[in-house]
Amino acid sequence: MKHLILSLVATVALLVTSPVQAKDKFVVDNVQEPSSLDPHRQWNPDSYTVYRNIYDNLVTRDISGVIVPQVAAAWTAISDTEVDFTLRNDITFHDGTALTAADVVFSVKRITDPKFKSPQLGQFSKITGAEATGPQSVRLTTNGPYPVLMAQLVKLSIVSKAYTESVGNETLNLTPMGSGPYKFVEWRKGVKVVLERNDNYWRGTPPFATVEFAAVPDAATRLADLRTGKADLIVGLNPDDALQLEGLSNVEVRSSPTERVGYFMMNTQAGPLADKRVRQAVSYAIDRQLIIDALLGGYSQVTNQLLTPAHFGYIEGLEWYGYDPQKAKTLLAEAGVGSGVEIELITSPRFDQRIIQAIQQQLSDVGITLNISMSDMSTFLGRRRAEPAGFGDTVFGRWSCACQDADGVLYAMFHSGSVWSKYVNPELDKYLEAGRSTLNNAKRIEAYTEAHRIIFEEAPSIPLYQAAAIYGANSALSWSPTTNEAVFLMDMGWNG
Amino acid sequence: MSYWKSWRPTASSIAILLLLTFALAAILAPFIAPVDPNRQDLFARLKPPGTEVRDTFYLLGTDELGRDILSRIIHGSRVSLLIAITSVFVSLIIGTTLGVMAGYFRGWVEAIIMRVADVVLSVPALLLAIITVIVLEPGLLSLIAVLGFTRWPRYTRVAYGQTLGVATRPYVIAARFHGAGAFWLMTRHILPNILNPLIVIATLEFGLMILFEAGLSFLGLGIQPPTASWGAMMSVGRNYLNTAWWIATYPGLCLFMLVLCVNLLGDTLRDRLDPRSNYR
Amino acid sequence: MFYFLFVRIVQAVFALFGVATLVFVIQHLSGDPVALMVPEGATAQDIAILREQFGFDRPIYIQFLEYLAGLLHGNLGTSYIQNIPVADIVTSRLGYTLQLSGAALAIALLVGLPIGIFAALNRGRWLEKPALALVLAAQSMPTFWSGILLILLFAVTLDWLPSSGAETFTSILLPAICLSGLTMATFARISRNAIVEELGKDYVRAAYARGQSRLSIVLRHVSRNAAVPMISIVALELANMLAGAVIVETVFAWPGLGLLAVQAIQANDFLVVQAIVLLGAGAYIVLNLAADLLYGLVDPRIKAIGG
Repeated sequence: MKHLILSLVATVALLVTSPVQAKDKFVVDNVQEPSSLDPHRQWNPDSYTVYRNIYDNLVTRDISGVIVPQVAAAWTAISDTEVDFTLRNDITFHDGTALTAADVVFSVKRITDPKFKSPQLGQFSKITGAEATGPQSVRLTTNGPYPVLMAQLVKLSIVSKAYTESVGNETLNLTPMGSGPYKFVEWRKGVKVVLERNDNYWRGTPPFATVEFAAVPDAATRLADLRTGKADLIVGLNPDDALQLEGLSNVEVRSSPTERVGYFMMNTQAGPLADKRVRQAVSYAIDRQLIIDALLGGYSQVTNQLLTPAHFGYIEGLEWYGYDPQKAKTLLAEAGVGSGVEIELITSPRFDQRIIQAIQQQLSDVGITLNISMSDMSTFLGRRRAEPAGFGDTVFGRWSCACQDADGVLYAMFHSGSVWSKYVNPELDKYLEAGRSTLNNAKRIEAYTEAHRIIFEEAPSIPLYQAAAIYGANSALSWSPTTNEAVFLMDMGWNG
Repeated sequence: MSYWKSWRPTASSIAILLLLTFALAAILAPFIAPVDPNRQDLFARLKPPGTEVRDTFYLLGTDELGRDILSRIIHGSRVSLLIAITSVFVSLIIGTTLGVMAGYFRGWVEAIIMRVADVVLSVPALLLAIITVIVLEPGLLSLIAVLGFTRWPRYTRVAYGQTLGVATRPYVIAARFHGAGAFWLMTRHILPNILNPLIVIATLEFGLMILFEAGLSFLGLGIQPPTASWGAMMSVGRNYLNTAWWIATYPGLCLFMLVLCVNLLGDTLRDRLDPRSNYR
Repeated sequence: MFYFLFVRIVQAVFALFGVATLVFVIQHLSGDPVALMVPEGATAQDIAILREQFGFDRPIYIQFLEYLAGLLHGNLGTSYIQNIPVADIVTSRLGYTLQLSGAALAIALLVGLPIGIFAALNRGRWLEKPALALVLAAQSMPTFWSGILLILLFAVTLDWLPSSGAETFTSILLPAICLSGLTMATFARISRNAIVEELGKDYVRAAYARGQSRLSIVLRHVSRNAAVPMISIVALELANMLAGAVIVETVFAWPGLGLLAVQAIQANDFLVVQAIVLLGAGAYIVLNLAADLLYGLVDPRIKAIGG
């Protein structure tokens, strides 16, 4: 009976679906649907991937990670706290109006207004003033010297003042209008977002006529979509998922190292890890290369500092403790810690539990028992940002500031005033503050070199690996993923 | 003596045998499992059944961290069986009691019990699961609590409906009229007559509890690693269906066998307990 | 009759109020959405500013009263994450959930009942075995597993049906089949047992002796009596659908309320979660009421109506 129904259904299905893939339409499978298409109003890659193709940002990064002009054609710092931007004069919004300084100023003010409730408020809060000094020039004022300004402005999308004021925030969210390579067509909530080519794009002609972003939460289903040709590009794969694409002729794996760093942070203020030797022992006990080869499919790389080569402040040639379980046991004995000492790890389902379990095994090999405390994300974050007493002992994570600057990582991770830090060291504080209060790059590097030295000696957190982002793509797609994990349609095309 | 001579293997006796095997495996797990179920070997990841790596023979293959599937299945049977038995038992007792009371006493007793049952049933199980997980950390205890809290109304609803039918029968009304005690009536007359659908539900629920645990593992809220449970193994294994199908398939087969046995047993029990059926 | 309905409606209102409070309390126990919204490295100050703007720093009873007041005016609030009215979000996804549950229930009934009747009629013969085996298979497979198997078979290998999403007319088939599995097994089992039980009764023997075929006995007489336990089961199973649908919707990327609920719970988007829970609770209470009324109609011995 069931077979009868199914074969009837299949016959109908054959008539209805079309197996031929249209090259004019490009389909991307995201993990979730955008929470909002208002570029100032959310902070998640699913939304970013979509709206970033609708809007232009003030500046952007090129393939090698250097900050290059986009809306702003050039900029100069006229003092420690003021920067003048000259804008391009050939950019128009999708409704035909020109993009002017007024729109840039409006965008800055909008995102820095607390009443607007942007989650990105903290990234732009150092900008205290924005004014149009001419139809195509803007001056931004910061609260003190802010070396990370340009890196943060990479994330600022420019919206149309006239449009936003006339339709209101809610409509801007649901029907965005920008100046980017793709125009918004439709958002079928929960299903997909449809964009079409902007023929008047100032940078050139975008590659595909229509683009659809679908939301497919399950990795196995995304893989199936790629294999059936329903999707041309899928995001959010882990190395074991990528294995499933091997040997298939029309699809392939694309990957790139990112600026995310896998780290293992320890509570230096309470518990057995307050002793530096115990922390170093933990580091000696972890075989990072094995974890990368076995669990990360070799896509990631070991890193000896909490930054990647993509970050400003990354120092070449730094060392970290290697894999030496014997040394670990010796250090533990020296610190007077007996075998079977228990430490707690807090985590939540979103983190790669295989790595945590592998670390658990490696620690138990040297006599440390790691107890895993799993909870939902909200509870986890509560403990993550708590005072050292409530934090537990360790946490595993992958840090990303999306700014590619040491300040965004080290300051938050280690400054005693940061809720993310479980380490207190006034000397380190001094260097971290120095690093963020001068615009002189050489001085910043000096400060960060000292900071790295202290971090190495004290080992409050162990750098594990530079993470890679793995995508699945139709073999005919010409595109290489970039370090900042942007899915820029302008950089894509079909082969041949 | 003559009983054994004419004993023939029936489906239900095979079922009982298999169930006993599962139970024995669960109890004797540490002694019969070939290796420590939590022992990882990152060099032996995702090996097919029958491989030998570094002096260890993996009869059913290894999982994503190089742990022996066979040992994990044996140890996992403890967890899975414990979950299934405890939660079914708890919810059956609570649910039936409340349902019979509601159907017998009617009035405000019925109103309160049935509306509370409604409230519990109407809140999606998932939310209740997350709740419990916030209060207690995810794991065996919180899982049994969740299952206990969410499943009892199912028995209540059916017990209530059935009790209504039985309590209106002439002999029951007569007995009440003659002053028969409520408790005596409920246990001696009502309960045996309503057991059938309840047993059916209990046998359905048994396998369901393990599936539920698997679903929660899928969302990260089930049995926590590294502890093995069939549900967790199936949940992880689905991402490896193409590359390492054995991770999910063997626990799945065990679950299938378990559900099969419990249902066969349930059918036999139902047939025997029903005073009116034509049991051959 | 009307007194009965009135009492039940009053009880329903209390139940809904209970659900609303329960959900509100639990959500607030787990923290607020701001923590989950902000980028990594956000300072305590950033978080404090946002919390203040959203109103999460006010005492909890004030937040609760405000929420209740909103409910009474029919205002479900605005989503913290999506920034659009909750009512809009929920209505845009409700249709998909109804479609999926309806389709799954239909498949479960259309397949499960005949199997149950077939098994009951062939009780004791070998024909019963494959039917029961099929039912058992459906009962012991987790939906996330059967889901991916269905996709691999019908979409990837055979290319007959779409692998995910809700775009074409045929997209509903695989998720509906997947979701119906467990319910189908339940219907098959319960109906089989109910019918078998009825078949043992005297009136059946009498009809059989009169020359009626077993099939027509089942269809005409037995079904009515066997329907009694079935009714409450159907209502229960519909409620099941919402919970079970979460996993199916995740696997197949079917944009229903289950998927929305999970995402909202994970993001602590309280108002969306509360709206969905209240909707589900309300629907379930209505279904229950209908089931109870049906009980009274089908079995005249039960004086459900009139008390």
